[in-house]
Amino acid sequence: MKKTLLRVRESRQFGDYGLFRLEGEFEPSMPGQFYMLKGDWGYTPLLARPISIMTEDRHTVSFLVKIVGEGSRKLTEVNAGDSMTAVGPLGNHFPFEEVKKGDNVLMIGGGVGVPPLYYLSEKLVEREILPVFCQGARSRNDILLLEELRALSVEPLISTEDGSSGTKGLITDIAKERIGKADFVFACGPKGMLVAVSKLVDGKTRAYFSLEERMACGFGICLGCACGIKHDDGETRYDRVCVEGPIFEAGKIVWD
Amino acid sequence: MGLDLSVEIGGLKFKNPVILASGCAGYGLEFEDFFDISLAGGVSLKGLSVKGSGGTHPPRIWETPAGLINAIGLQNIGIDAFIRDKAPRLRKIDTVFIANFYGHRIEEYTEAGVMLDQEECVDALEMNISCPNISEGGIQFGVNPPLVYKVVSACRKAIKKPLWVKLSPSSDIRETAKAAVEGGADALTVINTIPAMAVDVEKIEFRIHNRVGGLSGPAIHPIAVRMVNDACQTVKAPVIGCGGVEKAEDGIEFMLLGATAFQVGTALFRNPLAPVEIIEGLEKYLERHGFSSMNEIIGKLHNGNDKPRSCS
Repeated sequence: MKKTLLRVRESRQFGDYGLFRLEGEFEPSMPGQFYMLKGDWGYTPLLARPISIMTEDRHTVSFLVKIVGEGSRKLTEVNAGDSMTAVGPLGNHFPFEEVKKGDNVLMIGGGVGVPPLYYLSEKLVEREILPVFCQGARSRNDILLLEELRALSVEPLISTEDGSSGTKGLITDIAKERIGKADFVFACGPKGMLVAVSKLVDGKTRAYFSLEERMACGFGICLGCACGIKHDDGETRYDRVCVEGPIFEAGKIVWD
Repeated sequence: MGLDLSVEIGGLKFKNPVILASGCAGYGLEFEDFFDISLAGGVSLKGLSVKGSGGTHPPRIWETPAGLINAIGLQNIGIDAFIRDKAPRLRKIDTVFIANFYGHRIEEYTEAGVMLDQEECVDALEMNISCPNISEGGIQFGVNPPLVYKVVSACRKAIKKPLWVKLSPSSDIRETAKAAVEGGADALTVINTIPAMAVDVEKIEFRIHNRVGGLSGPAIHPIAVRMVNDACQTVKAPVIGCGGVEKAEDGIEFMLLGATAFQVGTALFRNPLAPVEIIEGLEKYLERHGFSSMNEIIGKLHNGNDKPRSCS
């Protein structure tokens, strides 16, 4: 990881979302990793924002952000040519190297949990592993990266809460039966979704969840992004989502 | 060229007055990816206690306008683990390491202080006195001058290395500064975070699980400036300014009022290269004003100046 100044190559907004591509010198990343991103906007907001990587190539790294507050709004309002301070790539990654050809892989993505799973899908498809991709959203306008996933030959199974697209209901409704058959489950999304998914995962499936937590630094010094994790010695300790995570084994996460 | 950024605090020499603040610099090693930490004047390490602490339940942080509220619960690995796992690497780094420490009873302070006093990489110790005193019904050590005197003098007797005391802004800073120096403090760090609270009015809940946290960042800088000024006017011991330093000029404010050095905290979260940029900024400032050393600016605002005028 390092601190670097990247330039916005392109940026577009749609609905409550913004997608931007940054170019410059950066270190290669792995799916599940994130950057702390910040524009040149002084003290408001004060801190950079942790954003998962959606995809990258040799020259650019892309992010898809949902506008939820001032920081995310400012991030999505950047224009081509603007500069952005980026610290990263940070955190651990989805253990995609452990997936073998022929394994049954299930992705469960809710809302802005989809972009890092898209990046993971790219890496798996490169190795000729085609995942089953379940995507849950509030309504059809919140379904993300559909075309991009199709371009990978991944046809997402959709659920929406209002029934405006796919199956009406929650993502667990469409993922439930598939979880038991999966060798690997990779999930990212709202905490409520992850808790529900964790209840459906048994000991046979290897399940990895990407967690989200407020972060001040992103590289392990503020200890703000603590999450209770069960360790092999039987103790539960607060791990840092930014360094020991953001990807944790589902069975080790302490929900409350 | 030929600029002298060095300063001296109680016999300890610092390359420059930029010290990474406790709680914002980990155990010093986390910055190795970003810059050579031997460039910094000093590093005040994450607050340590004898047994360590698992920290408070999340959520632990909340961002406010130009500020950050945190309640980490002084999470730390404990002094034994620090000496075993971190200190060997710190011994090889050429900067001043200040071991920040705390306890909940006077005996815990002295025990922690003695353990750290014996570690080779520790050049000075910094007491965090903004902790509840369990023996006295939970009142903070740092807000009560007689208690400040008691805990500082107990540590002073037990510790050989330079002893700094980080003062709480929830106190009359003149009184606690005096009490700490009378207790034997070699230097004062002014100030710790300011107790604060925030509420989520939609969910109708506290933003931070612990409810109360410490406010830091640019929002508190002017308060810190006033308290540094008051401490410098009250005691002769060196004062290290702390609170909302983002750029060189913020630290220079402290120094013009009499601080010998300053600490950089929350700025490290948003900009891990802040110390390097601040050091460059100090050089530029000296050049711009024709000074040749940092020592020349210490207390410059008060030298020969009278009190503020009034019309009465």
